[in-house]
Amino acid sequence: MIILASVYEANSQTCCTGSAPITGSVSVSPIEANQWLINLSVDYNNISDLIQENVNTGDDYLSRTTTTLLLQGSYGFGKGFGVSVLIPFVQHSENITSLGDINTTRNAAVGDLAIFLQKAIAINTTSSFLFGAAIKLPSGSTQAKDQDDLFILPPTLQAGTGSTDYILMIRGQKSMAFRRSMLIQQSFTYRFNTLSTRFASHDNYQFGDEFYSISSIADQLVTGSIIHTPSLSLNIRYAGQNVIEQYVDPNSGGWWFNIRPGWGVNLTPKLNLSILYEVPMFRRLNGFQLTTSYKIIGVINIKI
Amino acid sequence: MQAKNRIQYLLLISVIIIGSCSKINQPEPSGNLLPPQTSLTGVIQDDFEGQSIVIYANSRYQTMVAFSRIAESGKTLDFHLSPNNFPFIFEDNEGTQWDIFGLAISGPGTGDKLIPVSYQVGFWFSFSSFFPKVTMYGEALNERLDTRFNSSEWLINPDDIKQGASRDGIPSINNPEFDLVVDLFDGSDGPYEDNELMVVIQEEASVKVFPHAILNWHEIVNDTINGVNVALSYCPLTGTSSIWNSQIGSQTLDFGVSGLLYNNNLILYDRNTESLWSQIINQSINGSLKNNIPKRENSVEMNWRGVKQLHKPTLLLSKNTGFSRRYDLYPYGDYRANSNLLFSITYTDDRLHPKERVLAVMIGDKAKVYQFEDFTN
Repeated sequence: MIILASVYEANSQTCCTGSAPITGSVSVSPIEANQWLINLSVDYNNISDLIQENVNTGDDYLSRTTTTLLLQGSYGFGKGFGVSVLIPFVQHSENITSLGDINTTRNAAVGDLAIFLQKAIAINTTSSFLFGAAIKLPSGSTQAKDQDDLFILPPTLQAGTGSTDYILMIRGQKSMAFRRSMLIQQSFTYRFNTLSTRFASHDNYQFGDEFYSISSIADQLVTGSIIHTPSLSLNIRYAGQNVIEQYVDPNSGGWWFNIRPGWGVNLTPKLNLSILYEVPMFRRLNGFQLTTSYKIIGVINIKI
Repeated sequence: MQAKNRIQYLLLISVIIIGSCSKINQPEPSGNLLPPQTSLTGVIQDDFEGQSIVIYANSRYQTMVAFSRIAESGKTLDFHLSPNNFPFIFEDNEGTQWDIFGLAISGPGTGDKLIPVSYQVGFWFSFSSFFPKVTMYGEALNERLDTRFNSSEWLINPDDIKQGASRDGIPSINNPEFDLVVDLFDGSDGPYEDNELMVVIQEEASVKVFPHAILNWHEIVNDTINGVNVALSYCPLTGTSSIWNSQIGSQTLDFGVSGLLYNNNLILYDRNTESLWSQIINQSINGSLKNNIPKRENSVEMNWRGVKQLHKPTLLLSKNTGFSRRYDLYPYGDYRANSNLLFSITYTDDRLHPKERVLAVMIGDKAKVYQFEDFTN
């Protein structure tokens, strides 16, 4: 079980909270009956690449960072059932350089709360599946204004999306016969986004649906009493186009193919730390977009 | 065996999901998407708000201009369509031939000039939202619906201003470069398609040309025309352009894109005082320069086919802007052809398609709109 949990935690699913681009990191792992699991993660998303379809224009006058502090509390009911509640705190910062001057816009607020239900099924001693469904509630702020408190910031700088969204996830994993500590896993996640009517600037705004595929491999190395878990994953993300007042935004959505190495450490059976670094390998986006240059994710898992 | 079947089922589901998500939309090529079905050319003489005006339209070149009938010489003239080819547009009652820039080129009045009235060409919804119950040509004058707003700080209601992007998120061009293009003629190849729209400015013996294809991505060009510092602005969402003399009092202003919109129309800011300026209202709406009115410089909208007919040395705004952009791609998808707006407007008028390209003469707080279909002579 330690092995299973370590791998899941090291490859925590990027998913489901806050405003677009997706910000939170949700750890999904089998939870034992009557067990509490606290997951605290910091997701630093550096968004500096101005991409025209699949070409990085190299322009550097515009950049944005999104730092998400995500607190996730999970509880296991037994028979593989578990529930998680996720509360994100999102900080956006946008820098625009014009004629040598840098103009910075910031916003920080509690993002959208999500509730996640999961069911784990052990196929045999080496394989298991986990199914999950979540609802993301429009609890985060969508009305944050600029520093002069005059105008509502664009949706990309808001902490919440203003919509109730639904997420379905399935994940399977198998340990390798030639080395039991080595695991491969595959997950698919689909997020159905609904209409937001809470952005005052846009009467109706809908972020495009999203699909994630994460394929990963991880192994365990033991040094003394500490278990190290190096991992490597290929993340494929698809996002549909945003719709603003029936206008389909041609500069939104597309395909992202990212690679994400990670390293986890089990300091004690109940305490796991991990860090992940995600970089794009290939992107095929719609139109012209500012998108992620790299991400760094740090995770602390505590079992109670 | 049971586990193997489950894995196969999962793989099948994933293939279906990936397949259903695989459509990637491409931006449409730039160009005017709403030309009239037939070529319409004509001249209208009209009276509006006590002014006698003359308007010329030519749908083949996608151009419309409006002048006072009182020339610079003080003569009040009668105009009809010039028998000569474009860029000649008027012949007056004295036999003088006038070109699209309002210059008397031949005949007894040679050297005289026409004075442009305050007008803009753009999408119908732009003018019908700024001027509720706007009068259309051929209709009786409407009573203007008074939506004026004025506070100590604002000339328009700030609650109706929307933030589409951050300040300078759309970068203005501040040191424009131009390519000299000569020997243009109808049918010749060029860097643009014939139906692509341009903002054209007469500069001594040549013309300066600013393609919408570049302006779509930058919206403002700070430049010098005939020795005068100017700010050329173009709003892709309302389809309107304007050229302002940058000199306000003792200050030469440098303009940028504020990211704010009013009725979807560009609000500029000046980097000197951070005052805000409405492009269509043609006035500072907030800040220390509130109420200041910039002097409009004369410009003409036409397509690349029209530019080629001018037969003048052409200084074409270079794609070497300092920014890496695909200027051959229109960044707003099918916006020019559909009926959707990105942001709500203060007044909706359904008499025309929202994106119908029209000319609006704006005098004081009133406006009158002319369509290509009005020009049938």
